[in-house]
Amino acid sequence: MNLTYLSKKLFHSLITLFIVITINFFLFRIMPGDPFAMIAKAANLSAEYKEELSTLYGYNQPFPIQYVKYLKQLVSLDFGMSFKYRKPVMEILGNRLMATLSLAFIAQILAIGLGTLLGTISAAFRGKKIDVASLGLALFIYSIPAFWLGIVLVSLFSVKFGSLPLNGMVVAGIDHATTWIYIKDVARHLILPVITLGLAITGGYTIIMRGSLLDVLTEDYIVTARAKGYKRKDIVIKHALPNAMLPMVTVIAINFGFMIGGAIQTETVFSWPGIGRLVYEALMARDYPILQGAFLIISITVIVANFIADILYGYLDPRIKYD
Amino acid sequence: MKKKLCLLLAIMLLIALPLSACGGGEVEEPAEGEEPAEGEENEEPVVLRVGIIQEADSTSPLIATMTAADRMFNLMYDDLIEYDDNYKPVGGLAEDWSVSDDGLVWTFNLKEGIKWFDGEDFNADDVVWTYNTMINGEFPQSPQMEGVVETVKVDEYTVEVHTEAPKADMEAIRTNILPEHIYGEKTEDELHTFSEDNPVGTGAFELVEWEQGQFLRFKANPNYFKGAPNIDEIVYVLFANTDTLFQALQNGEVDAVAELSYSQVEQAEGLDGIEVIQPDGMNFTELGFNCWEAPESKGNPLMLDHRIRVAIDYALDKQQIVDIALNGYGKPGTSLIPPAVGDWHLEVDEDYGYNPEKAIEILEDAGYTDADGDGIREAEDGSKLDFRFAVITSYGEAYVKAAGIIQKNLQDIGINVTINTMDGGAQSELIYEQDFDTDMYLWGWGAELDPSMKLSVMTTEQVGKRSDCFWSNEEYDQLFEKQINQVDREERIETVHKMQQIILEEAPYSILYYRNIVEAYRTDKFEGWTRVPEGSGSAVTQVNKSTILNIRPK
Repeated sequence: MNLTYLSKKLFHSLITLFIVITINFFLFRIMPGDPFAMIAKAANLSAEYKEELSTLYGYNQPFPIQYVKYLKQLVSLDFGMSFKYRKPVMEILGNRLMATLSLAFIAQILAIGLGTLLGTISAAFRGKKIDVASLGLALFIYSIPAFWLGIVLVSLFSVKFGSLPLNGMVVAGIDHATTWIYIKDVARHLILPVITLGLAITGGYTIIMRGSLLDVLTEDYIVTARAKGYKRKDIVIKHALPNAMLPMVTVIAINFGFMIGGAIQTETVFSWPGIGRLVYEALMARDYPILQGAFLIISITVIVANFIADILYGYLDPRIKYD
Repeated sequence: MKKKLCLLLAIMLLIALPLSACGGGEVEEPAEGEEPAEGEENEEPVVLRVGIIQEADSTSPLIATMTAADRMFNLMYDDLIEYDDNYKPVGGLAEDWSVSDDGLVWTFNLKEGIKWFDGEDFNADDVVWTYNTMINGEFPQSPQMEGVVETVKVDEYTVEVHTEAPKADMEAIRTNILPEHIYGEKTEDELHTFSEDNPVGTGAFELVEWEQGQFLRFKANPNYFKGAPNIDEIVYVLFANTDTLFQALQNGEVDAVAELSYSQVEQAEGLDGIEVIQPDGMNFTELGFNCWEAPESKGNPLMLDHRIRVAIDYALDKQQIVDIALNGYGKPGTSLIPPAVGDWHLEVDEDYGYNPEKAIEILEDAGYTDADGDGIREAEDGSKLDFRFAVITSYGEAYVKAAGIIQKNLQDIGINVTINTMDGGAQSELIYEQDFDTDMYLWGWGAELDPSMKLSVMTTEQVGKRSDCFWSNEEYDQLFEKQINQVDREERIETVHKMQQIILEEAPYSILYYRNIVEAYRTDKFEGWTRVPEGSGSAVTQVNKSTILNIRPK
């Protein structure tokens, strides 16, 4: 891995980012529905008030001027002010982003772990009953919609057994005496959403892992290893698995980007204060600044995730040469 | 290789845990929440928990436009005049008030000794600043100040409000009085973007914590001028779906819900320890028509014939719409001002209602017949009674179900409608930005206790602004100007009734229903839920402070 390769990749990522930013800008300005008219109608307000808001946000200026202002603000990480909340978008996004990240990260870890395990077992014992069972389970989980799974888990553990919380990230409105107590509260609230979101992706991971590993197991060098007398377990784990991980890395990177914005089903079932819900509400209210900010963050996450995946390839597969 | 992966996973886990600790924003350094010292016993604070679905948008009354914010302001602020449990005006921050003989000068004597949350004294400066800001600027409350010229400080605890003509709805003004010592220095532009994290008010409760998307937390104000509340805290817990909200009510995690979804009401009524109430709805939902007479209107010109609109009004089986779209939780619509508002509502004659034969008679008499036998009537010039119907699907199922019934009802009298589904923003754009490119649509309004605001929607002046049907009628406009100055309540009621009669006869709207907002609360831990108005009103979300001041632990 050399510096030229890294900087070239970085440069490409930045160009992608710029294109995304521009598309982001125009996308929201061609959507039907004037956000200020909606705010004004909601509260019996006058046309003058609507004009006032429009001017406040610079929305009656021509597009090129708005675009330049938009770019300038972005450089200083100023995503502008939300129409609905009349507060800086960064402030509103910041908290929700943390909530989504903690959910997405841990759900990914669960999914990667479980998916790799199930996929490996399936491929290693292909055709046997355990393969059929494992694959069947994966397919079943894969086809379950996240919200259905969430509702089932809630009705079991929160309602019937009453052992896990119904909603939210923390118990509402109590003082947490120490940070440790706070972490415990959040962790307790995270259990069901993480299981829901994690299982929703596990299915896909299992199938890809299985397919990829099966592919690798048919390679010549595996036959050689068997001929040399290595133990079956060592062959699978030490020789085949590392090579089979490559497609998984791709899928994980792609998935991670989508998870940030796409956990809305889980967030709605568990009233988790994440970005997915925020984006949906902002969409209904035509709150463009929040939408622009959120979409930008999601895009950056996808671009960064893919960038990291590219780097990881270099370590995982020595065959790939970079010049 | 495996070791590296493990290391990577471990690092991610380590990062994720503290991240989730940061998530959710600042937790106050717990001055009050600390473990009690050895030997001391801190009493558990008495906390009322209410489950809500809609979150407020801003803590500043000068910015917030959502009705969910009104809940917040009711806790934190006061007005000069407020409502008692029978909707009669009583003094809030004002001790008493009087109006001059010519009706142009109102004098308010303010209560003395009231303090803001931060210890400053409340006095005339606050009222003067608040009212004049709304009169001179463009804020959500400014339409209420219509006709008010200025507010003048007479002395420390007396203000005069000057109007250009006698103002009939002066006692209905609800703006929330804001602290001049915090807002006074700001320019109008700053006021459009400034909001406090912990607003300073005079009210019964202070906002101490707002975790966006999660909850709002209020602590009682022990120095509240009407008497300290009987509980320590109120927490509004935000739920993203109604199922877990209902569940939380059942297992006691919340003590009340602001609104039950209709499918839950029957189940809730069967539960012990939960009280379900159905206050009359202070709202109406209408089938609106494109009444715009301007040449640029993209509406079907046939819709401008009021006889067609009246016929449609008679053709709709509104009771069926209530039964199916609202599961029966509502009343069929009649006149513009909902019955829940009181005397202002116009009671209709017995012969008003679902009457498809009458509808057909009206159409036939007006010359709309089905000459070619295809089931759709035509005008004498051959143009078909075929209309476009915009239906918002993002508000929930009620509109969609209602639209289906409306389509069927109209088919029965020979009118064809084509349904176009969209969300609220798109319909707004269709009407206001695209020259009203539809013929019919569904929408709804919340109603205030004073009818002026709703009546104003139908005036010519509001075409293109507050009005969504763009209807214009000179007689109606004249009556509107008349009632706004009629200080005699009986006379004003008569004028308001005449105005609603015109609306029934011209039908710019066909009022479909007034829907009920079903509330529910637990009876085990708290008592003192007070219905406003007495006996038939709401207890959880209300126009005055009865419940929040009466509620106490059992």
